[in-house]
Amino acid sequence: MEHVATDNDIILSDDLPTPEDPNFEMLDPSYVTMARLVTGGIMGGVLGINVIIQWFSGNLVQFMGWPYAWLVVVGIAIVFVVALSLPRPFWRAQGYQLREQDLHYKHGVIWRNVVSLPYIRIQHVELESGPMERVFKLATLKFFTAGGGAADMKIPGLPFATASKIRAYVMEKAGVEAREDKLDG
Amino acid sequence: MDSSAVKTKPQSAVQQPDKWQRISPASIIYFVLKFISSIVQNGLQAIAPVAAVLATAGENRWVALGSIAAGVAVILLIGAVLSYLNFKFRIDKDAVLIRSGVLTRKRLTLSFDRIQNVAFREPIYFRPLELVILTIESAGSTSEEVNLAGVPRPLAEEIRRFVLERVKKAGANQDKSEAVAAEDTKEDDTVDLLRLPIGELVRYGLSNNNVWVFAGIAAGALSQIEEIWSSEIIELLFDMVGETVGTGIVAMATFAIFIALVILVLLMGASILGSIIVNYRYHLTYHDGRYHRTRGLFERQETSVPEVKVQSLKIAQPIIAKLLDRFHLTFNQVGFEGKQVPSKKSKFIVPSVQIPFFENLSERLFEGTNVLKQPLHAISNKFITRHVVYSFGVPAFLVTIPWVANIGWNGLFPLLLPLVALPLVVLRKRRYGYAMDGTNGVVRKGLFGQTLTVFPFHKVQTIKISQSPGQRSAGFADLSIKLAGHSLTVPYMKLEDAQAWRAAALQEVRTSTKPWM
Repeated sequence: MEHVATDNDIILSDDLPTPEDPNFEMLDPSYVTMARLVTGGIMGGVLGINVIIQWFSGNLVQFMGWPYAWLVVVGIAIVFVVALSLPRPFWRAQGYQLREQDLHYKHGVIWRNVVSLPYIRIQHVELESGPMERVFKLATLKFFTAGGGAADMKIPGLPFATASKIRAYVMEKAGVEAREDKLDG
Repeated sequence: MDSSAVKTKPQSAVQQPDKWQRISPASIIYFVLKFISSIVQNGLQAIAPVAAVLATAGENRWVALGSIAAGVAVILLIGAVLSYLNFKFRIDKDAVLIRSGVLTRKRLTLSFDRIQNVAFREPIYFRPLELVILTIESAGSTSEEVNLAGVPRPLAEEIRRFVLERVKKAGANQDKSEAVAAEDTKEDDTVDLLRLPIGELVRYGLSNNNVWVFAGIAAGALSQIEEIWSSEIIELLFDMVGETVGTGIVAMATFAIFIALVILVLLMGASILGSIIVNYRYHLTYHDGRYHRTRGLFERQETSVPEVKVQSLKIAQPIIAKLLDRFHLTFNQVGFEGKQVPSKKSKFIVPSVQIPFFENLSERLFEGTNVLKQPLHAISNKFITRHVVYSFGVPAFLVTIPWVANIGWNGLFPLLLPLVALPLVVLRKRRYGYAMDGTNGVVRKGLFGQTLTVFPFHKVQTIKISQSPGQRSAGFADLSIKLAGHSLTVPYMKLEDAQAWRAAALQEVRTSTKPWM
């Protein structure tokens, strides 16, 4: 039943496709797991270090004796649950769309953003895969234009194969245009 | 004249592209001045040894100082002569090559397709010799800027023509429409666009910066510094003032206002003087696809910008300029955010013009666009609610809680902040405006003054549409457009409008045959 429930998530009318954003492709589902692991790892690490420090300084025993200690523990547990459930809605809101001449990427749950980037404006493309991403065989694609220092568009959570396919396609699109320009001139 | 050897063959740099050229020996003056200015700029540590000598030399200090000065002068002169001897340049088929440096040799190759600008400067000490400093600016960093100091004017003009022709050819390779290039070459006569009389320069000096704000801050800061007020001179001054106007609080307040006014007048004067020195005999022309500007009192500057390199036209009207009914224009060129911004000198500003001028100029720049004549659309009033409530209201409320806990009901005072901010937010909202004609867009923003930015859609790099939950339910969106070098944002635009802008820009980028740089 658990399985069926995830396949039948509630769809708000806001989420229904409009003429402006048809057919965005989703990021790889393992990106959610990765994000959960990273978030959980960081929070667990911070909590663990704190517990160890408090243990050795003797505060932990004192804290356990405090009558409202359970409230704090429950609070921490709630924070963990919320933090671990966040990556999924974020993943649901993320998506990319390759078109004939341009590339679109949407992200954000509360504030929703759609970035549009014409291929012929792309200066260079970076394919990046951090240690955690490598474990899940994922990669991040970064696109740069002449618009400014940082990447103008970053698409995370792409399977290796997809990422390099997109990269090749986009580079060809950006490059072919440039070559055509040269030939015509 | 030393430069005559070079002068007799004015076209040598161009005709013999494989031969290394030298600049005029008069450039030694330029190098000396450059060294001095870099010593001054690099701070006072260079002066520390001198101070040490002076402190320890006792009675012989003037002799010591004299010998130090003489020594420094000799070193500077030798350095300048060596710099001159080691500086060579060559104009190649597709690049400008420079060899320079005494201790560390530098070789620089600047290819034509990256050249942004060719500018002349004519410092006062070069004028009798009819020499100029030729500056070649690249699209990259300022460290790749080439300065050819002490080039005879005819040769410099030759180089500029040659380089810019090459730049155009390099650009034409990227330019699909040969018709545009053909049109450019046909149009051979120079169009006289603008000459500024002194009166306009004064107007520019008065209104180009917010001197009056600084004056206010300066006066406020001065009144805070106790040391100044308790210093003997001020006490003496106060005594004098007290004797003449009395020591009452009114007299003192009047005196303080008077001081503030004096500071204001001084700053205004400095600003006007600066404007006249920089922009004296300002002359703007258009010729063969390039805007050309000559200006300057002590140092004549000649700068030209190819029109294809102009990413957008900024039309600014600070509040004082509003009173004077003038606008200051800037040609925004490719720049890199975060990295070093182009120096003020290389900014292409057209000061103190009126509406018909910039309407014509934007028509000329962006293919007869009449987008500036269109009525601007306003943004939603929800912009006001959002900022009053979220940007000011929420922080004020958060501050209030601990304040009330600590100092009682007086701690409610910060809640007035949103009320105080309200008129400013309303002003800000009113300044925002946008319009487009399918191929060009204009965005207005400001607070007291206003800034209009006109840009052609085919120069757009990326576009972003963002929506908060409130904006989604009400059908509004924030639109940010990135051009090469800077970005524009329109908050609380109608969603359909934002989508129309995005569609138009993507369409233009896709179909336009014009190069974006």
